[in-house]
Amino acid sequence: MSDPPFRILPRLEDNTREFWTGGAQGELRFWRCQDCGYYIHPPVPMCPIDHSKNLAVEAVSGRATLATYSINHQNWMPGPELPYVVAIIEIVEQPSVRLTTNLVNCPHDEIEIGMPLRVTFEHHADPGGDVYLPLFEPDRGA
Amino acid sequence: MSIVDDLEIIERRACITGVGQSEIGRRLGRDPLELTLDGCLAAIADAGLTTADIDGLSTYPGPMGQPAGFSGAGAYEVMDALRLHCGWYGSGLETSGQLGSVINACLAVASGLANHVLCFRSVYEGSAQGDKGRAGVMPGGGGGGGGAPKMSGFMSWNLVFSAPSAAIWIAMFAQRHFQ
Repeated sequence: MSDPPFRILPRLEDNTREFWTGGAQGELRFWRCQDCGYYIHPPVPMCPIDHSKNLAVEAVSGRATLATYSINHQNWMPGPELPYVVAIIEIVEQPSVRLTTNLVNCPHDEIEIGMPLRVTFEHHADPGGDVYLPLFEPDRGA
Repeated sequence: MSIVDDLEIIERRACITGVGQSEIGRRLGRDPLELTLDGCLAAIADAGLTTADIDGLSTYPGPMGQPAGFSGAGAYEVMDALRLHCGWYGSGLETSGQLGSVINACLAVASGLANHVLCFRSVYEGSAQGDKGRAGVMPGGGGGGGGAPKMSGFMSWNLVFSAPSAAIWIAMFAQRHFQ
């Protein structure tokens, strides 16, 4: 596997560490309310629905749908090879959980809003702690 | 009769209906947003209201990364966390100090922009000093660790995926809208 592109990496904090490192086990992880089942992302320390603080990190399937995207041709800063696709995806477990991410391994003329996706992780080794960025690719088995 | 007597005192068209406070201390080790929410919910309950009643929000100073701990939460974070539907809201550093948010809330109520305005001010500088002492809350202090540049907070969810510009964020919504 080729080296990943330059990225500004997320700072690993107590409430985001599981999200950014779950890929080491191939898992996409979110905080979830243990009382009402609501997935909470970005993390906040209290469930927005029932105000419970009984929260825990759980893995989801990694399956998602494409909410929207933009094909970026602008060289803003070092990053993936141009053009690259910035996307917003919705996880199948709870479509209100949306991630800004990159759509990869997909010819640009095959991109379609609503298409099924699955997570794939981009590993970045770093002295501050390895991170695994959740990117998404077409789920051709769906 | 002075001119002041002829002016309406706008504070008299608004009142403080509830107050609340979170746990307070140094090195609490608790998320500053959690503490903020604790205080906000306490104030809402003290007023005999629920989050559904809140239709305005006002805070000082709003989100600030530096100095560390100077701001525990911003307006958007609290509105999102409590799912508040505010027809009027705002934050700002350049107002009449910490109580500027309350003055602004009075103006909003007096002018009919909102009925129940949640006002908050939260700090966590004591905890933000961490194990680095005062240097931990000075600009440029804390952090470190080497390796790639790091981002946290709102921008981390976009910048990490090489989407640094609002042009990209807006383009995605336009893409969906026009298809």
